[in-house]
Amino acid sequence: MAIDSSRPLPAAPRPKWELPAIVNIKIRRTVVPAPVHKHFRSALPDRREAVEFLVRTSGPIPARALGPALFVGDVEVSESQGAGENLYRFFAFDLDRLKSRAPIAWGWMGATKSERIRTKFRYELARE
Amino acid sequence: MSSKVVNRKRLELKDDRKLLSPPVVDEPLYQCATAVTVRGYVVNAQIDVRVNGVTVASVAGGSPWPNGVTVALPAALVAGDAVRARQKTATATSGWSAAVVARDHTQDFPAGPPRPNVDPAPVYECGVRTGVSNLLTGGNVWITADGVEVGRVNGCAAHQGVNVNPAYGLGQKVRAWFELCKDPSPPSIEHTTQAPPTPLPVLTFDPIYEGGTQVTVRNVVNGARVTIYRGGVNQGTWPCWGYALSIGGFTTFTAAEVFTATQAMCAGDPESPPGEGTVQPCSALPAPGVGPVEGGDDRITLTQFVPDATIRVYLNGIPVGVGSGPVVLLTKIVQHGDTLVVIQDLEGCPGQWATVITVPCVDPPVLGNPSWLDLFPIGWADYDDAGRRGRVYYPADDDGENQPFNSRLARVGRVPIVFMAHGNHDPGDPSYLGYDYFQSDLAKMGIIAASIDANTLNGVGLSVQNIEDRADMIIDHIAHFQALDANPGSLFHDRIDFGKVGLMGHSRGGDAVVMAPSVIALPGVSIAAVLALAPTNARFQFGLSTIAPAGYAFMTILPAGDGDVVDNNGAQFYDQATPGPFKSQVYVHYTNHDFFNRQWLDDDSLWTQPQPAVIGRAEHERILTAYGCALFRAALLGHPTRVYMSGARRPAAVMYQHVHLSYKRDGDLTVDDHEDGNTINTNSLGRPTTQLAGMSADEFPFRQGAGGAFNSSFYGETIGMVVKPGKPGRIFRSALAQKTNLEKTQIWIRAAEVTDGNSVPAGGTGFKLGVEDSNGLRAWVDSDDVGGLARPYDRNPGMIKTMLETLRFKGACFHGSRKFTVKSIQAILIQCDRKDERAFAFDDLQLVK
Repeated sequence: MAIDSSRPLPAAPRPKWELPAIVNIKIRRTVVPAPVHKHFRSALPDRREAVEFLVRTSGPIPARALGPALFVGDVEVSESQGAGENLYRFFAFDLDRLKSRAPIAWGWMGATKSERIRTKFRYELARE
Repeated sequence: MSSKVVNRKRLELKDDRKLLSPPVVDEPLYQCATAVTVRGYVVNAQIDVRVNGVTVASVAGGSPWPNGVTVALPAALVAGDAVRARQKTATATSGWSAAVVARDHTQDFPAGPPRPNVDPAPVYECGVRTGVSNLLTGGNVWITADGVEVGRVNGCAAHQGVNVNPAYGLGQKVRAWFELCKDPSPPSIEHTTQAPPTPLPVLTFDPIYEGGTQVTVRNVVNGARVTIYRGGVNQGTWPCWGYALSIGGFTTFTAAEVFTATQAMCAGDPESPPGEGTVQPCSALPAPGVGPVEGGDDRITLTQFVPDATIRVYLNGIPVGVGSGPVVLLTKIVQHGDTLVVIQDLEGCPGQWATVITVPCVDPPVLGNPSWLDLFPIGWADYDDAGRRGRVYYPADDDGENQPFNSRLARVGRVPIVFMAHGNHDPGDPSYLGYDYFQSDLAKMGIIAASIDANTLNGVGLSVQNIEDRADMIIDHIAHFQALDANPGSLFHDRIDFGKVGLMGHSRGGDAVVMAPSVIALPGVSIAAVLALAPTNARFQFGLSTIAPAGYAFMTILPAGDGDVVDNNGAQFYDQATPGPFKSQVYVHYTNHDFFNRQWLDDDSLWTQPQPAVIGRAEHERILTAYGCALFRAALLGHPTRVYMSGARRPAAVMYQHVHLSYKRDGDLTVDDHEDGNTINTNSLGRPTTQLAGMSADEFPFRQGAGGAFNSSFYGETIGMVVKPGKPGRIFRSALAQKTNLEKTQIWIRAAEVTDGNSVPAGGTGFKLGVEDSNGLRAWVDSDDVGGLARPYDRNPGMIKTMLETLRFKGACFHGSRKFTVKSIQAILIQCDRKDERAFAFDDLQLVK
């Protein structure tokens, strides 16, 4: 019987975890309440002073275990929630570390400087 | 285990022609058995079987491989009967084997005997024989086709071939059935007969040697009729259950003889083309392959051998075993450092090559697999109630959707339940369906397994709130099943033991199942086991304290090639966990984040290149079910499966060579875990340590981002010891609180080669663990003799980790000078003796009984 030889099949695909572009960012101060759960009390403080970054992206953020993060200068802002289609809220709680006019980059949590994506936006808190 | 192949003539072995190893009686044995199976005898030996000291049967053994001989008993066994066997040849008689005592099967299987398996499946039209496995030896097995009995064996072996008459038709529903003591098992899965493959594949022959009397053919179609020719002369036609057929009893083979074989199924369909095998000369007979052997063993297991060969075993030059593969019992216990020689001989053909083994201290046997326990048919059902959606698998009366709960098991009592929680993924994918294989494995052994649909929480960033939301959802599903259990109209009414709840979470789900026990307040619910698979640790990421698992058995499985949770945060949970009663870390090289879930299709390791290629998806699944079932069987069913988590036993059919275990139990004596805040100069017993011969060691936080860390390659959350690079011979001494007898004690220590995080130097390394007796005499065992020190996993630079694993050293392995005694040890020592002068990390030095 004839014997075959062949080349390896392609492996499983690489995840498509490239982040979309940031289209717009609105920044304001806010208060984040602790979440209310059905079966236990949250360990988070009842209220946390925060700066909110409302980020509109050019497409959905891929879903993976780690989350996306903004980098305001060197300050990583990674707590986030969905706010609508291609719309996300990021919260920074270390207000004192955010420097006015610091450039905003973005990437996945823990991204090194070389992995972060520069944006055209800078940190500027809207006047209340 | 180090072994080499040596020419027999160089070994000057002396034989004892009167030596014959006792054969092995298959166990367990149960009352009402009308047969026993005996293995390990030399070909054509006479087998005597004794019950309670009286010889009750004497039969010709024939070929010992593959199935031994199943010996019919004149009377059924009664619980308490002691069964032994021996073998006799023309020149020797073995001693009697150790007694196997018959028990009442309902002690092991209170809900009835295990269900039989058609093995191999599938079942084909025109098949004339079917194999059935998962049987209790000595019981009765039969097969039905469309409800009509077509074959039966009373007094069966554990894996029994059943001839079928008439042969199967097409489209018939086939099931296997079993009973012992008139106690029926559930039936096997129902198989529908299908058309056999055409053309039938060519049979192949295993290597055949001069002096042999047995041939094995492979590629047999299930149920085929196999005809064997010797030199063109028809030797007969045998039915075969499929896969392979081994036929013995031929007159001795001579070199260059040619055997051919064909197989046939339906009359009128062509037979297979002939397959061929040629008898090789005696000089080609290879040395046998020998499985793991370690100090303390009383037998050897062979991995490769000629079926009808006589296996001879020599210990330090003295003959200690004569039998056949795969297991040969020895007349002496082997010790660490002994030299074992194993040879296989055929009639008139003494093997010229021997396998020579230096017995290591630790090289655990590969034995069984915790996921293989198969007792019950599997039912499954979807549930959707007020937003709580999922799919649950459970032991049922028959296989399929919404089948009734297994009525026999229900009469025995309530059963444990495991809840599974997937992690963040595309909300459009049904991630909760991705653990169906694991759910099935648990259900077939009597554990309900519910997988929660958490997609409403998917598609958002990682945050403590998201993990709290998931934990809240898990608790809500537990509450839902409490309501089902209380509902007389539910499938699960009065079925669930909420005192034995297990949790399994993957990724963010893994984070949530660690959180849930710390916040759950549902009355009557007790979490007994938690498995965190590649978990995140959101609290740590966001500056909060890591939750310390406590009050339950904990396991984390960490893929070394994880391209998503790249920090392997589960190591933090392991380090922080209090054994309750044990904790386990399973760090697996060549695995990624996604392949444990069948709905997650990407290879995430490709995101963080360069990385080695990962093992296949099926291998990921086998690792999860083997170690996951070990955890849940131990914690929820009280089964003796901790041996797989400690590493004392390795699971078959799993790539255990890539698995690196850490394990700790409550109640063991900790010599030093470096958590006492009393500096490196004092251990956890409050006793002094000493650094000798250029040793430089200190305590460091093993944690990311910790001030004072040795380097950034540590990803756990504990304090440990780092031995800094230095010249060979440096010693660390840790005094014990009192003189201690370590003869029947093990010394466990977590150890790792320290990496800089960016590269892995060529060549492995190791160290010696030592003990010092009350006279100051020392004895050493090398880390290579207990399995070796794992290399750092060589993944993308910057992410290479110093990941500790538990090495086990048996006290009996320590031999010093004649005056040395292991019965009075005053200190434990670590000696770094390699010329590579690398740094090592150590933690959790313990004495374990």
